[in-house]
Amino acid sequence: MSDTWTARLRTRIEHTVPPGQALPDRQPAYVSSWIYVFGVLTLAALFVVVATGCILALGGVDWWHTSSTGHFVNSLHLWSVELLFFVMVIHLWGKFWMAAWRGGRALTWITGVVAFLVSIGTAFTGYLVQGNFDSQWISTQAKDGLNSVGVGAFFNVLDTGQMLLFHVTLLPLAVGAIAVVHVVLVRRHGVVPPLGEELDEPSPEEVSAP
Amino acid sequence: MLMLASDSGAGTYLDWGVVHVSLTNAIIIGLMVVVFVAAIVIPFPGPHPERDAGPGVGPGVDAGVAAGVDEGVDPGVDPEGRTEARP
Repeated sequence: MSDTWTARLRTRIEHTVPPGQALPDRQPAYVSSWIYVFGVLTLAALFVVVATGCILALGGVDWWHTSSTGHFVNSLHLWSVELLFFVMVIHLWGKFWMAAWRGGRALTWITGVVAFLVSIGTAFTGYLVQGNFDSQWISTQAKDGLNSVGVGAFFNVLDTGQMLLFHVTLLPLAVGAIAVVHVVLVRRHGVVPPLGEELDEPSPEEVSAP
Repeated sequence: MLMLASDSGAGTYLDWGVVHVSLTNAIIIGLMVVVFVAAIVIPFPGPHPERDAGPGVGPGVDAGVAAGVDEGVDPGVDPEGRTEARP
């Protein structure tokens, strides 16, 4: 194999997620449960959020406040976010109660938690840049809390321009990147089995046996 | 004690000790719990070879073969399980 960076990168990618596991067409039998659907529902909602957000960014504040089409896309953006959090929290509950960090999946769990927290920040800045009285009310209520913990100097919720850039660039990029890492880790380690049905992990008795 | 408080124009809130939540948010949280329980309880549509095969056939096993059917009858089942933890 040639010692080029492209070859090394290709090898690294193939080692991280083997081709058969990247986009599988077969899954373990235990995945035939509704609770396993909420991860991909979260991804679907995130896709709609990002797509409608891109359209809103093209139209601008006046467009989404005055045009009926802008209202429609703005509503799609809002309700897809509501659905995103609805299904993401159920996904989180499901994974928490099945201890989804088992079997070397700790990083998968941690990236999911970080994605959830950054999503809250993204949604919060979204409420601040609606350009209406609602966003004014939320920002004036939030500033005291944020100032009290000392972050107001570099995260000023009364600065609409800063909040807009956080909402449309920095935080979406962070959510997107973490979501990609999260999905890659899920594909690399496989979908976590239900509690008590691990096949490849040693049981506590096996581990403690001399 | 759970109390229901309504301030004209500002929505209705539930007060229970330190818990102060709007009725709307309480309904949404309740709905999420209902959906969560339903997702666990309601069976997923489609064939379930491991269930039909009786005890001794666990998830991740070649469920199609274990159920006495040809491999590939249930395209959603991975005969290799794909549950191995990679380093």
